This record gives sequence, C-alpha cells and structure tokens, in this order.
Amino acid sequence: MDYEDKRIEELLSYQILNSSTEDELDDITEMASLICDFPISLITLLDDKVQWIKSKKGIEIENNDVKDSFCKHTLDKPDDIFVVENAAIDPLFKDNPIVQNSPNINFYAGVPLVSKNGFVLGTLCVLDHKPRTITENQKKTLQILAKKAMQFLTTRKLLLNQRNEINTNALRLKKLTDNVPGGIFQLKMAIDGSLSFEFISKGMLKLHPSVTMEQWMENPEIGFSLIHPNDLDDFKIKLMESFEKLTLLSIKYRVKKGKSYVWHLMKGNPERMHDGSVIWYGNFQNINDRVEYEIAMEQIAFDISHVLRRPIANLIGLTELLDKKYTFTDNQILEYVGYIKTVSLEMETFTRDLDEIYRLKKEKITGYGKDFYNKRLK
Amino acid sequence: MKIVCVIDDDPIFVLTVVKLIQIENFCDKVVVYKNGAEAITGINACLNSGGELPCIILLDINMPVMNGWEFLEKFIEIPDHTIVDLFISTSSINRSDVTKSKKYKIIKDYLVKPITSKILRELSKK
Repeated sequence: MDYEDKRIEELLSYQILNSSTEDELDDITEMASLICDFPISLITLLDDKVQWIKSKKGIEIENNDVKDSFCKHTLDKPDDIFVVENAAIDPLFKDNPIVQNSPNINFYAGVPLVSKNGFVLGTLCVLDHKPRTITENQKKTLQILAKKAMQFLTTRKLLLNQRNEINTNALRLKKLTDNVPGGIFQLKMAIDGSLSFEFISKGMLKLHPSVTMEQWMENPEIGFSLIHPNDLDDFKIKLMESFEKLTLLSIKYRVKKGKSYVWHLMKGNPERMHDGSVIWYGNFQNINDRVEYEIAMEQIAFDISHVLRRPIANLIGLTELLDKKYTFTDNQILEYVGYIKTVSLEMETFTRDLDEIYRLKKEKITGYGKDFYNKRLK
Repeated sequence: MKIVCVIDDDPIFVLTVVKLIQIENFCDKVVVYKNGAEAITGINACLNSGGELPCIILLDINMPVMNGWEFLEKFIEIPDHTIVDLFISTSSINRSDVTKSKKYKIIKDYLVKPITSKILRELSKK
C-alpha cells in the first residue's frame, strides 16, 4: 500500500466525507474569514477523486474534481502553508477554471489538516478574488484554527467509534439473550408488592407458548396462573422471603404445559433499590429432564437399598446359621442350601431386570432409543 | 415369660432369625406375623385373652398390606406399649428411613439386616 492509499484509508476512518455540515467547522471558517480578513474561507477534505467542501464561508461552491483544486498541492507538505498570491500570472493556476471563470479566485493560502499519523486529510484555506499577500500573524492564526479543526475531527471520530461499539455490543447482547435457552429477566417488586418486568428475553416464548411478550411485560402475575396449585404457595413465600431478606432466589415449581405439568426453575439475584423496591436479575429454565433424572436416580438408590440388600442380608443370615459352631443334621443343611439357592436366583432375576428397567428409564428421560447409543458406540 | 415378636414378610429372613433365636436360647417363645395388620390383630387378640405383650419386637419397614410405619401408628395406641423394646429390623440403608425412625420414641434402635447372633446378644443388654 503506497502513501496515497494509506492516506485515503486514514481519511475514510473519520467517516465524514458524506456527512452533513458541522457547526464547529462552520465556526472555524467564519473565524478564519473574520480574524484574517479574507472574503472566502473553506474547510476541504480530499480523497483520490473529489475535493469535499466540508465548510464554506463567503462562497457558494460544491464538491468538485480534486485535479482542479489548489488544496491538492498541500497533500505532500504537511508542515507548510501553501500560498498563491496571484493565480492569474502563476503558470500552475492561470488556466484553472476557478481562476478563469467564476468565482475568479486570485489569492489562495491553505493550511494542511494533518492527522495524528501525519497524513494530510485536507485544508483550512482562505481565498480572495484579488491578488494579495498574507502576514506571518495571519498564517499563525490559520495554523491554530486548522489545529482546532483537526481536534474536532479527531474527537468526532472517537465518539462515532464509541457509539458504533455500543450499538454493536447492544445488538450482540440482544442476540445472546434472545438465543439463550430459558428466559432471562429483570424483575422488580415495589414496596406495595406489585411486580413488573423491566426486561424479559424472548426465551420466555418457548417456555410458555401460551403467553405473549406483551402479556409478560403488562403483568408478570400471569405466571402465577400457570404454576401448579400445590407449588404456588411455596413460590410466593420464597419470593417474599427473597424480597425481605435479599436471599438468592431459587425456586423449583411445576408449570402447566398443554395438558400436563413440567418442572421449571427460577433463579435470581436480588438487589435493593433506594425506594425500597427489589430488582432480581436472573433466569427461568425448564429443568424437567433434570428432575426426572433425579427421580430416576432416587429410584435406583431405593432399588439398591431395599430390593438388592434384602437377598444379600438373607444370604449372610443363612451362612451365619451354617457357621461351624452350630450342629445341624444333613437334612437341615440340605434345607438351608435350598434356601441359599432360592435367594441367589432371586438376586439373579433382579440384577437381570435392573438393566432393562434402567434402559427404559434412560430412554424415557433422554428421548433416545437403544439405537442411538449403539450407533454412538460404533 | 420372655416373648419375642418378629413382624416380617420375608420367609427366609424369618426362618433364619427364628432359628438363630432358638439356638442362642434368646427367649421362651417366638411369635411371627407376616405384616403390620396381622401383628396388630394378633397382639390385640393375645391381650384380650389375658396374654402379655412381647418383651421385644423386631419390625420390618417394607411389608405388604400394612407397613412398619403404619403398624407403629396403631401400636402406640395400645396401653402399656412402652414396656416393649421395639427394634426396626430392615435391609434398607435408606437415609430417609433412618431419619424417620428417630422421630419415634418407641423405637429403641435401627437394626440393619442380617441379624447376627452378635446383634441378638447385644439386644438383651439394651
């Protein structure tokens, strides 16, 4: 990339070429005219084709071709002021259309607008219809004003970038919250106990297909009508407890979904506001699979502790009886061996069934059949 | 007379524990009931015909018809029930069962099967 490409890239980063006029730049051209006593003053920016007139004072002029501009002669001299005292006799400019025709420019002085990286983006320039000279003080004033103009452009660019970043972040946040499974919320309870959602994500639609986003925003208490009657009191008690003591909200409850109920979990972190109200930041989620899994695990634990332990205890009991310190007849011993066999067979059947029982449970919870696991194992 | 009452639906357990009680000379008489309902009826019938309460009851929890907990609710209605040393005797190591058993004053201890001769000997000390 050569110097000119880099300069254009820098210029574009200011996002100003196609923007509307800026009061701050108009003030600067006005000051340049008044203080230095020139009838015309301009702030121009130059890309590879167009001279963009960002501010004009004392002349009606539109963006024009960069090849006819006086300003292009400043582009490679960031430290100098470019002055043409009498264009009509200057070999470089005497044939220029704006010298030949209206507005018949004869005098030009341009101070480069230099970016932090040293690129000339354009100029602050003063013009006159008649030939004249410029004093050192006038030059100094123009340089100060050019610096001000550049400061304004830099600040403007910074603000634009920040605003873009905020917009991008807000957009990203919205996408994230809308796509997170479950409903993210910001719920407020006023001191009179009234509830309102300050924010709620679209995930709620999936959790509760029968309630619209507008309905949630209008009245969160619509949720109470969905909660299983046996869980509603507990739900309200825990919500009030969190309101009063600022305890972390964590409520398991069943909600109506179609004709049946599914398990949901509400979690929230409370924060007390100045007016005494409380705002919870948290989320709703469907934990039905988890709860079913927990129930299955409890069943497994129960099966092991009750069903499997019984024959084991019997086996130990029987072998304890057969311990050598007691004397038994052959018939008695045979009888006990028969019992041991019965108990062993009982265990055999139970452990055989266990595998099938748990496979069915797993299928019910995960929704995946035997084939799914077999395929994965291959 | 020292009577031991076993309330349990598992015939093999009953067989081994009765045999053990006999071998250990633990008591004068063993009475067996298959579930809580049979036990309540049996105990009441015995009391009505002038019999006495057992000294020791070994009570299973999981039983058909009337389980151990339900039996306890009925049993504490019997006057003088406190003279009986009642032990839960179960193969369950379920924590909730253990916790629940602590709520009953009448339960002397929670015994996990198998009931060995060593456990039997310690019962008489309690």
